[in-house]
Amino acid sequence: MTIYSFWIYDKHCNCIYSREYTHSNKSAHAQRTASVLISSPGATVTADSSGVEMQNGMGAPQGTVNKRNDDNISKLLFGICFSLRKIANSITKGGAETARDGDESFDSNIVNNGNRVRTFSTLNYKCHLYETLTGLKMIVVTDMQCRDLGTELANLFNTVYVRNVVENCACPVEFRPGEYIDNTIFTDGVDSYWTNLVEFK
Amino acid sequence: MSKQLKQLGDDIWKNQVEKINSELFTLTYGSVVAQLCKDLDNNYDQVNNELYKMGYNIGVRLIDEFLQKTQLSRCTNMHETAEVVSKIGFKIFLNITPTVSHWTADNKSFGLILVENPLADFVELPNTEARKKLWYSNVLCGVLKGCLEMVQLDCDVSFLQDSLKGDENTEIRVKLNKILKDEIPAGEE
Amino acid sequence: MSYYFAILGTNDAPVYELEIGTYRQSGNGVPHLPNELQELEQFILNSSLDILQDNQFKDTGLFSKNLDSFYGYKILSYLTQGNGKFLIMTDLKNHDESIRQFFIEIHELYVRNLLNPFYEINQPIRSADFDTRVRALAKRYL
Repeated sequence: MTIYSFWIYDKHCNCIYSREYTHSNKSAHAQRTASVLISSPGATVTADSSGVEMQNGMGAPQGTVNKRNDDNISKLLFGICFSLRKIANSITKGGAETARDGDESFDSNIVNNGNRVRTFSTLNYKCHLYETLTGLKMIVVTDMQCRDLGTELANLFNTVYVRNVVENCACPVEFRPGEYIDNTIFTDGVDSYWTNLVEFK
Repeated sequence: MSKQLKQLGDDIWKNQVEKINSELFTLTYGSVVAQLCKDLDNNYDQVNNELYKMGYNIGVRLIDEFLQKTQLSRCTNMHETAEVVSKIGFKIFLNITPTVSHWTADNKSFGLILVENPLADFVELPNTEARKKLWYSNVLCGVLKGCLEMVQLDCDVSFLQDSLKGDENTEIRVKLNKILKDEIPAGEE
Repeated sequence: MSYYFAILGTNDAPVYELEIGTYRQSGNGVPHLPNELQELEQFILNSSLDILQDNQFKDTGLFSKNLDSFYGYKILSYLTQGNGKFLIMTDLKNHDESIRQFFIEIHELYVRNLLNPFYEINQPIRSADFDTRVRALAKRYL
């Protein structure tokens, strides 16, 4: 089982963090699946030319950080999740409970946690989605045998994101275009979180 | 429902919140306000504004911490929101529980009455223009604004009265303007 | 039977003063200080500061019940750790203990006032609330 990449989008639909893991001892199968995602149709960047290899110390996983935030892969990935949720919501729209008298209920399908898409998978990979009430979206891409990592994403948000981004006043929470989460405590925190999972290998 | 919220608020306050000395807190806030008054030449409208902006910046962060601590899901209506703000929000960050009151008929606007205000211990406004114009705890409005906006509730938040100014109560008004829709990525219809 | 009470800041400048009569011995709180004394009272207290400063690092106590005297009026003092000075000039005898209590309560008020972010140290205390509280304490102890 393998974790290929990890993405965070803010509520303005911008990718504020992307992390790709290159697995040095990957099996032929994993290699094939990884390259499918990396060079899917429409992508202009391929794995070989995309950014610098990470080499920050012993044991740090290989791969790239924040190199692909604005490329097509990132946008497509967001687009899939966005559309999936929208479609899923419109299917259940009729079932939404009606507002109480004189009381404006919040239509939960308008806002983000109505009918959540948790994972979807293809023959080659599986995407796990997590979205907070504040509109932050986190996506992790793994191989398709992987269990549902939704709780792991929630946990990652609670421990790593809240601690190192939200409570870190030197780090913005509203990101301007072209601005990414680039503090190393966060980056290292995310890496150690994923690498400590059995699914990482 | 309201009982459960109170219980949740109490539990979080007891077990998950790091506490600091209240005097340190009050004095820190006090000197921020006093310094702002000095720096802005006692232009109290501007001071109110600055406090509001500072609060807003706190709010957009605080909401994530709030959600992490409480693990609450989305409120279904404004009444629930008001209860959550009062019984959990104020409780876990300031250890007070303002009274929710003065609902308007359209259920979009309510008041939060602060019986005690930890920001304003020791404070006595000088008997100048400050007493007429300065909303000493305006940071709270900013915080609420920031928090609510982050969960798609676009609200107006402002002080209606403040006992520091000799008013009977300290009351914050919250008025829902609209529910913000999710942003759509560029290029989508 | 009257009191003259003053608070001096850390730089010895007065920040608060009050003339008040005793409530003991069927007094009604109205001061009866002779005119010539009223003109002098600031000077008298200021001159006793020298003695206060001499004693400052000799005595460990905050309260001094016989700091100085001036023609039948005696001067009592209370020096806070932060170098604020409370002084009382009075012609009442044998009220030292209640004056000490008064000083202790004033000390608390004084500190609370310092905690007000809009008050700057050594500025005159103009708060009406402070004044009312001091008068209430005077009624209780003096």
